[in-house]
Amino acid sequence: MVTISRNMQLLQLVALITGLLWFSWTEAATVLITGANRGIGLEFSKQYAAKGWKVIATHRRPEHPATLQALSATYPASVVIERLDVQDHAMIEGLAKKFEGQPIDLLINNAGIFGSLTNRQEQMFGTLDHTLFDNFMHTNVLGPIKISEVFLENIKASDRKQIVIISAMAGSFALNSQNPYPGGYFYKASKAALNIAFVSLAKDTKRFGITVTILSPGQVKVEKLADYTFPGQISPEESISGMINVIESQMPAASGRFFDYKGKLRQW
Amino acid sequence: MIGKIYHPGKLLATALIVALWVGNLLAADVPTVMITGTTHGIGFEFAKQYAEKDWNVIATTRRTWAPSIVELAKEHKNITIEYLDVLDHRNIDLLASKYRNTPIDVLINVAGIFGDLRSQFLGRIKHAEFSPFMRTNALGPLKVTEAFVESIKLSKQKKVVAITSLAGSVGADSGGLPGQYFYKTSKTALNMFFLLMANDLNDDNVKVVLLSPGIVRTREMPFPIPGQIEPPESISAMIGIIDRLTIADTGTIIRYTGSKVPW
Repeated sequence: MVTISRNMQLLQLVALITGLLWFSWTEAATVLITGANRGIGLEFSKQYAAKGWKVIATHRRPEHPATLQALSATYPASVVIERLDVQDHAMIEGLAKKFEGQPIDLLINNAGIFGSLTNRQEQMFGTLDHTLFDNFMHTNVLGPIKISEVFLENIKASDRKQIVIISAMAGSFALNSQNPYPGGYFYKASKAALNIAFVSLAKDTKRFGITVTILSPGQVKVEKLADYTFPGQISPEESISGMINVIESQMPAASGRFFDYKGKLRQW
Repeated sequence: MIGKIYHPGKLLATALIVALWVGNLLAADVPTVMITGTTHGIGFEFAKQYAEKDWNVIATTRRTWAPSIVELAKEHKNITIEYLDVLDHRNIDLLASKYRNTPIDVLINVAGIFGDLRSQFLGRIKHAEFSPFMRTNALGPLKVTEAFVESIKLSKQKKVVAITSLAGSVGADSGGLPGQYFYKTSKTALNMFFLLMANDLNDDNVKVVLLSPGIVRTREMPFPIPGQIEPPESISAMIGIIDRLTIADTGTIIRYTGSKVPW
């Protein structure tokens, strides 16, 4: 009995050392971020790069934006810039082909549109500009579904297996039942639709051990809101560091839930 | 004697009174319902039951020649068939301008698509099918309601309804079918549009609600499923709910059984 117990202790020690060595030898985790050239996406890229992650920073501009070029100059070994228009499904498939066989630990579906800040009428009942609808739905809803579907094998092959959706409280029925602000029809409907798509995707990917997290970033003062002040406004640094904490604390059992950047569970 | 009885003046007066009485009956006492997608299934059953209740029924369809609705309109003179494709916004605007001065008490947005389950499973989603879903199930009812809102405001009852599904409730966790990405997202978007309209039309006393019809046996759902119900049962229950709607119900989803459905 004594020998067995000693052997067990030895075995545990060996396992521990192997584990530690394996961890330190493992390559850095990889994150793919859409809409990474500015705002929330850029801040995610910066913070993950600073944490030593490999960052695949995607954007839809014809040329690589200066913001991302600067970031990749700072982290030449770990930041990769790629073109990706979330409405262009051939481009999504092309990029997936390029990264075939490479594990992606974390996919952050961030790219999205909000609509005009100056012409609010186009999303107000009575003066709705219905020609905007497709663009909202294809960018905010179908794009993330298509990207998650196409990169699913990369995520399954990774250690962390996480998909993150940048949604918004604007897509919350509970909040809109209180009628906090009028208009924003297409934006709100697209975020609500995005939410159900990923509640569904969470169910469909549970058997792979994938964790889907739907996040509300808060009222982030991104570049395009520089001229606006609103209550509850927070800096990108605060919002994104909060969201990274939430992402790191996620477990597969909690897949498909809706949190704010502080980690508070929010109502649909 | 004969001349006295059929005096032209008397005849004219009588005719006028009868005409006024009939006109009054049509204009004021008989409510009007407009239903989209009345060729078959839920929409057809709504048209049938409202016609039997002696309402004025504006039954819209993309197939105005479909024998089902043509036969029904022959049996019930209070049914008017109108061509309406909810994808065609110009068509919607034109029909709305035709009825601009007609009060519409109840607008029921039924027209929608259920689609093919096989093309919505993760890994083999046919993304080209996304737009038809969104435009038909979500944008269509929004556009129709926006176009007809003045006719609804003119009416006594002022009610707008859309047929939704439990599959579109984010919080229902119905353990719904896997996949169904486009059906679910389109119904969720529809739900959000109707919640926002409920907010915006509250001051005009327009009641805006979503109805969940249950698993109704229709052309799209012909196979037997536990809990499935026949169209007459679901629709008569929903008509009862519509009859009793008050502004307190606005901005909610109500199941045909009368219970509230979570968002």
